[in-house]
Amino acid sequence: MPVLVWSDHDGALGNSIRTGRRVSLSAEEFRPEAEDLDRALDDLLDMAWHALTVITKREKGKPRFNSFEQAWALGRAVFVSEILRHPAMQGEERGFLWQALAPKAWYGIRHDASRDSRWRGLIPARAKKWQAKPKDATAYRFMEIGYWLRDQQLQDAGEVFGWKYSNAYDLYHCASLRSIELRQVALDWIRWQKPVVKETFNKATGFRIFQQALQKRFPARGPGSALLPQHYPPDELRAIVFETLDAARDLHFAQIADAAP
Amino acid sequence: MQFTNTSTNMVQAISNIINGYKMGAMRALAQEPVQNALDAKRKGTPKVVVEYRLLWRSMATGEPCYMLTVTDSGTVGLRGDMVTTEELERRDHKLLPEENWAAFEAQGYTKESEDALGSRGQGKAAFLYHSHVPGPTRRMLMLYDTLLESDEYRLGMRFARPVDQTMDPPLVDEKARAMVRSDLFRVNDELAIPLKLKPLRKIGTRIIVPFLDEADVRETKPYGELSRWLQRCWWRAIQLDKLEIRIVDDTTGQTEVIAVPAWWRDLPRIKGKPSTDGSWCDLPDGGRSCVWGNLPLEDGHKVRRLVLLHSDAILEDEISKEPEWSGIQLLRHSQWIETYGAREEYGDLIPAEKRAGFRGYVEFAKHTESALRHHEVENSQHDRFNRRKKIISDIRNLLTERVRDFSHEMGWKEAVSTSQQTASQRDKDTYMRFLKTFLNPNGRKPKPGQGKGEPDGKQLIWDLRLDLGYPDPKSARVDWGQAIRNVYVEVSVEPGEELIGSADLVLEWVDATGESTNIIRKEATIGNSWGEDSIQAQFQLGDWQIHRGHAERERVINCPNPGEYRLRAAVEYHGERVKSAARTIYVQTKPPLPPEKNPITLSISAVNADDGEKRRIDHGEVLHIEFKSRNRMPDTATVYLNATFCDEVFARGMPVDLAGTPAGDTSTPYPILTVKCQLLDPLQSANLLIADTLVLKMPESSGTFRIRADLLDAQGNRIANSSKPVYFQRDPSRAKNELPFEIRQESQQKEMWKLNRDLTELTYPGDYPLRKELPDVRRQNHLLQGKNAFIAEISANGLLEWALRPKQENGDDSNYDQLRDSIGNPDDPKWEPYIRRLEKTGQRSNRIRA
Repeated sequence: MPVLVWSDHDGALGNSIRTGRRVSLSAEEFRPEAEDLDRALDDLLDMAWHALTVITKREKGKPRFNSFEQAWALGRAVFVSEILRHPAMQGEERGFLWQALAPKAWYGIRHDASRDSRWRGLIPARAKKWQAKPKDATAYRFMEIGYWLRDQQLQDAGEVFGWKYSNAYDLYHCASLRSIELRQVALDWIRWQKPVVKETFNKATGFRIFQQALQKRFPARGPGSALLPQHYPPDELRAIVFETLDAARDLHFAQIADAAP
Repeated sequence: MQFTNTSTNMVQAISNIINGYKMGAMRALAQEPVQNALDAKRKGTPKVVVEYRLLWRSMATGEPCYMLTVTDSGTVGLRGDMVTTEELERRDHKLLPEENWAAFEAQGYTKESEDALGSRGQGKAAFLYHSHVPGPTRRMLMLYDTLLESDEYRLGMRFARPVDQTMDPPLVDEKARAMVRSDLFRVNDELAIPLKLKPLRKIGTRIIVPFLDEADVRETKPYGELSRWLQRCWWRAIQLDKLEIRIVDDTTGQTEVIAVPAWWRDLPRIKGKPSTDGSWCDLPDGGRSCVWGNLPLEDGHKVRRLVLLHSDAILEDEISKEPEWSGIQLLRHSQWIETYGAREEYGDLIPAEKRAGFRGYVEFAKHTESALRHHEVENSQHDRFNRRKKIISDIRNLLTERVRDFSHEMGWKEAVSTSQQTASQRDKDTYMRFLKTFLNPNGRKPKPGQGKGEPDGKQLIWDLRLDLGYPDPKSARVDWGQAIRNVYVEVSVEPGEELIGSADLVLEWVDATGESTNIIRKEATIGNSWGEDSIQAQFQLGDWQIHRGHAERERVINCPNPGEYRLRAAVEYHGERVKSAARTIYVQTKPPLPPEKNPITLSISAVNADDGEKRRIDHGEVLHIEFKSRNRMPDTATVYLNATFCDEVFARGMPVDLAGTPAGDTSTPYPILTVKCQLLDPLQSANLLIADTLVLKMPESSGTFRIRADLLDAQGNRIANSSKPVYFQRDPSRAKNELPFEIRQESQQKEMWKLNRDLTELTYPGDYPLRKELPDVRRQNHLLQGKNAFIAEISANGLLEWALRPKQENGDDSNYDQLRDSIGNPDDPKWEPYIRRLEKTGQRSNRIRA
């Protein structure tokens, strides 16, 4: 996908074209397509921003952004806008889209070079690696995770990850646990739990306990990695996940009880 | 109505099963239903009756469609409890002998007091394969109703769409009867089956195959191909009055009752106990026949009856490329399994003009039949016996002797005497057959320099198989005076377009230093045209005795020194070796023991079928995936395969029988599952359907995705694991690098080289003392010098680690096989020492770890 990537050097705006396609001289030959895409990204960012304003809590009149919600809003907007079906995107890696979106939102530059600083709210404040390493795919992990979260409604996704971006990051990090089927079953399991379990689950350390149990049951590599959650029939997956998480929960709380004076 | 899904890609699984029938899907349809019916015979009934009925129906849309029903009576029906998947798992996939319903609904089980044969889903596959549910993708469906002795009536359904779906629970009694009678059986919103059938009145089972493929309609009518297969498979059971088979065409009212072929019709007259010396009789049409009885085999086994017959009045009548009538049919429980062909097996004993009219069959004593039914001897398709097994080898030898007697008595002396000459008739026949392998009607000629390919890039795929029998089937040891038995070579080339030129088959004896001695060279010359998709040539090269001294006899290998040797077969075309295969032989020496760790390994190869050289797969291109496994233990092992790619499940708990490797012999990777799938970009239109190819919509437009597989034992323990990356619409990051990993300098590293956990990065310290001392020079005079030599050294070590680490850790042979296959020309003898060392390193590494 040829994309137009904006830059802002002390107020001086510039842009360049990036593509994974074979070029005869330079990527500039794809500029018309890239500019067309850039126009479509304006609408996408507007849509994401409006969604974020609806879901973000406010304190003393000021929005209090949550990284998890920021990532979800942007990922969902990418999905709903069907921007990946844009002709410019055919046969190209998704990473180029993130390379275009991140600076465009951060610097708030519309296709006609007018500014819209609100979009900066869509980028988590801590996600700055892309500024230092704009071509490093891992620098755009927050966008990749947001796009991954698109399959679930915000409320459902929030419950699964305790509204914590770090929890989503941890689960995404394990490639075998990325399927929507697993997240749906995990959600069912959480809803059955007592508040004390839910509370533990929502904390980063607690979440990791359950994540590790699942990772052990569905390893990403080596023996046992051939059948991942999405490969099981729904009932069987539900039984496996419930059994795994129940065992992890019981072990964890038994250890706490043992440690208590 | 409720349906239970399993994640198995049933369509793919069925195609794999049916592709395993070497004579095609119609034989499977003729064989499996009748075999199931005979296995379910009800006590007290005189015989089993099976009826194939072709019906015509009109769909809800008004379009016509055909339906095939297969009804058996005189059987017990699909009786027994309904067993859920969970219950089956709890019972360790074991069913009771009377649990026929559960057996028909399950995939992958064994019945108590039954061997593993018949539990692989062949019966279901034989029906489902012929159903083509209308729609853009390949879907299959069948219904089955049964009337039991208890008067219970059941109706079930199986739908491969492509996930495997069964109706849970099935309909019973009046509901089932009403549904069978109804005009439409509604499967879901978009699919309804016009049934309109009469409920069963006799105890038994009926399988209903709706949406019969148009191409199969003609073949399933009376006197069509199905009828011919039924006769081949079941004529003896019909003759013994155990079975009756009818084919009815409901559209015309025509009925055919399958009959015993004319030449065997009179032979029941030969009753009583036939003599072991053979009883001859003249046939009315001028032919002759001979019957032998009670012929002893080794280990207490026995041939109950052997009948050979020849008549010039009998014409050739074969359907497939494999011998069916012409030759000796091997029957087990009155069922035809395989034919040893008059041409293929007895070409040197029967003159060419007599082969069409040569017929024979052999039956065995009860306990011999039980031994033959074992899954290590008879394949799960029931269409081949394992020639490497001793019992089969004994039978072949005995049959050859009796055919020799028959030939002698018939006065076919010329053929017999020629076979004893150095350049025998048999050899000439073999030459002719082999020659045809290399003929090329298009006049295009493969470039010998490229070995396996053609200059225009279209690849010719050669294959060569070398089979032999060791004195002890579990060990590659052969002592002086003992013989390597039944050396057999099979060569094939695909696609079978025309080839021009001569090709030779070479059999060599190779010592430990790689020095080879030709023991046979069969030369071929240019012949006339030939065109097949896959061309095969077979060579029976007989027994070879290992001799210590100097003996000038035929079929003796002089080998004065004990040690490790190889028997190698190779095909040479225009002076180039295009394919070879070798077996290891330990002469007067104890072979090494099989590895204790990971004796069974798994490997995956994934090739872009449109361009084998391209590592990237683009939208619409076909990926050819092959799962292979090696069994380094001497005994056959049954393992279970799980294989997935993205969200697609190719196999889940698929049972696989792996033939063993005699201790010390070269272990061969056996293909256990082959899948062709066309990969589609989810964002692009998908009107690119290719026949027999699974269509897979990728999760994303571009990325690296992994094919994964596990092998499990019967207890569910994972014994091997393998994975392979697929680069969909992206280039591998190392596209310009021949190595499978990146090489990078690392400042904080102490080791001379280190390969990361993902096997993607080889690092070395920039300040490594040895490297620092070496000069910066470019590659000169084809020699690697200076710092480049250091890089070459660590690359070689890294490659070995890359190949062996997955093998040691997970029993994953994928990288190891890739390293072997990457050899410029593995068939060139100069690579022999390299391959041997690689094999030994692979085996040794397993033992060291163990």
